Amino acid sequence: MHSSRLFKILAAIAGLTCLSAFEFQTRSPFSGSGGEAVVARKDLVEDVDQRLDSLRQRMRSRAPANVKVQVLRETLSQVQKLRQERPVQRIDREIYLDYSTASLEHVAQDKNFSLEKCAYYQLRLRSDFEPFAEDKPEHPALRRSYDIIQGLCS
Amino acid sequence: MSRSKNYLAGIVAICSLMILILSGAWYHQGSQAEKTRGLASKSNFETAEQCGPERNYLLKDLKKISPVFLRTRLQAKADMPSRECISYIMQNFIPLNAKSPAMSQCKDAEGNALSAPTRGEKEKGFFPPCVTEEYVNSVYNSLMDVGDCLNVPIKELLPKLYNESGLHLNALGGGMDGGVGQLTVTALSEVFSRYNGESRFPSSLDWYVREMKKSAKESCRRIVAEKNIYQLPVPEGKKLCIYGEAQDENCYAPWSLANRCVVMAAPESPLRNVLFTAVFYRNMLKNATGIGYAAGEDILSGRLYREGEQLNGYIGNGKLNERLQQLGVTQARPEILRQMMVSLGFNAGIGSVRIFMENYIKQKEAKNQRLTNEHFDFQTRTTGKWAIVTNLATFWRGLGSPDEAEFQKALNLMEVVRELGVDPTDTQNKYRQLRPLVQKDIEEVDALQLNEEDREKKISVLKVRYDKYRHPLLAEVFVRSDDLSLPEYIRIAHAQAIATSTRAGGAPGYLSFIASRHLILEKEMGAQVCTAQDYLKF
Repeated sequence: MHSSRLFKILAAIAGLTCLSAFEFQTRSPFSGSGGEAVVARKDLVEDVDQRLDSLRQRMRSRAPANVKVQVLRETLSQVQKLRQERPVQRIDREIYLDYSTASLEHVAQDKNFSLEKCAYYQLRLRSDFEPFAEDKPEHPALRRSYDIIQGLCS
Repeated sequence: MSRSKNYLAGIVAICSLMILILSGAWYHQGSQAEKTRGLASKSNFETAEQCGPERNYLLKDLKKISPVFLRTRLQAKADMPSRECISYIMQNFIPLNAKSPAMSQCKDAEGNALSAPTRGEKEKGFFPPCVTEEYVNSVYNSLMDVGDCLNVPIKELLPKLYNESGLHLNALGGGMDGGVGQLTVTALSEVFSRYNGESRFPSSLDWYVREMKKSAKESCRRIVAEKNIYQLPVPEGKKLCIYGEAQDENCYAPWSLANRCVVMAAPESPLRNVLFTAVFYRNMLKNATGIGYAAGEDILSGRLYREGEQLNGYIGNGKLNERLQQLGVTQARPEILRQMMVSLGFNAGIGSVRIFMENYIKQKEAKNQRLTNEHFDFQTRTTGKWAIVTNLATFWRGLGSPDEAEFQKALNLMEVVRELGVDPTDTQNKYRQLRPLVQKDIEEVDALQLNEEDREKKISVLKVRYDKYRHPLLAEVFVRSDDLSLPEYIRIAHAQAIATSTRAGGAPGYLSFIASRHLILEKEMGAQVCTAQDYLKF
């Protein structure tokens, strides 16, 4: 009787340890810096911002447009996966993330992507999200999308 | 004896009841007649003699409109509003006996045509145009034909147009939004960009006209016959350009602010303006629902679309209706979601509206919170109490008004944020500190003894400068706003979008405003005379 209770307690501790180890693994990836082995998981908004900022940089390269649009699609797909892995964020963060990605969807999802449609892509960005903007949008996430489309089209 | 007494009493009771019913019916008939007389007085026409010279500036050009669009027609279909609705809206948009900056003209004082509208001397605007029978007919017939030909639900559109232009063809918004449909640069850019952005297609306008020509509908035939409406005259030495394509100096850009009269001047408008508004509407409808247009019919996935079928677009692909039903919104309907999305799309951009709506649902799902039909009722859910945090004008009133009572009222209004667990004390304290500063700034402006127009410009600068003190409270409210009903949440989310980017534009609370216009039309003109049966509520 006594040993059975002890066994249960030990089993529970072992179970909890395993679970926490599992969580430990998923939530705290190796930083790779050689410093602290364990760091807090990167903030989702920061992570997405970094990826899209980097995309903006890459769009300025001299690569052909069909290569660039592929990079755009891959980045959006990675961002979507990242978001699916995380719990739903607070509403202001979710809306910011949606502005960041939804404003590029019409370009990424266009099966007939063409440089000839660039003015239309820019128009859709403005018309769908900032209808009173005369030229470039002002919202930081939309402005970045504008730059990405412009880079893609240049 | 007792039985016959009872029998007699029964007859007396029945007779009394019948008298009561008949007198009730008579009274009802009387009150209906009273109501009808009331309607007539509210929606009858004006004459040029009644209006006087200051309100007759459109009459000459209206007479040049094709008789097909000027003569009185019968109400063609039950789903179309009656002609009285147009007259009522025109006469009840703004006071008829005062000049307003909302009214412009496309002619100068000498009667020469202008390419950009003028608000007249000192930008004071003009009196509203005289609401003659011909003027009403021109707008009514345009709405009926364009609505029927392009399948645009005019009864759903009327509250929006009542709110924005009062159906006047010379209405001019703050951002130079022009005419009956308050067309903006962005809306017109869509009309003059290639359909779907593809080089194999002509402009959206030409694409829709081509499809209209394939239709056997009388309404389409009447519009197509008016070539000057959709084939724009181009100034000598210029060529009509497609939006976004190589634009040299010879390019004529009808979407530009400098050419706003293209969609405002009679005799081409109101029909041209209403047609372009419908093209813009159809583009938004396609994004929201996937519904396209071919030869006068609605098309979805290559087949004829019938109301109630599964949608594509933002609503269908996002499974918004199904998700709402899962959350407990038993009366959720895609048609109402379409109304909400497209109506606000005109004002805030349809992509933004999609994000607002999807995130409301997403948060409820994540928090496992139930929703009811009432959470989506724009007609009865009041949102005005949030104006102190969502609208600059309300926030400014307490600071800018010399009346101490306005200041106290604003402080009290801020208490609303406690509903969401937000403490307004810091903002209230800041507001107290700001008021003397604002009053001093206003005194300095007044000391300059400027004319009204220049004074207003200076005050506008002050308003924008002090508006930043509203933003922290708005941000705090915004992060909790999904706990509220959809109308309240949308108002706050829209306000936050504008606080982030002034170019987001529109008016926070827009759907609530147009829902209230719907209610006014219902009350004043009768149920469903001017309005749709179901509107902005499940």
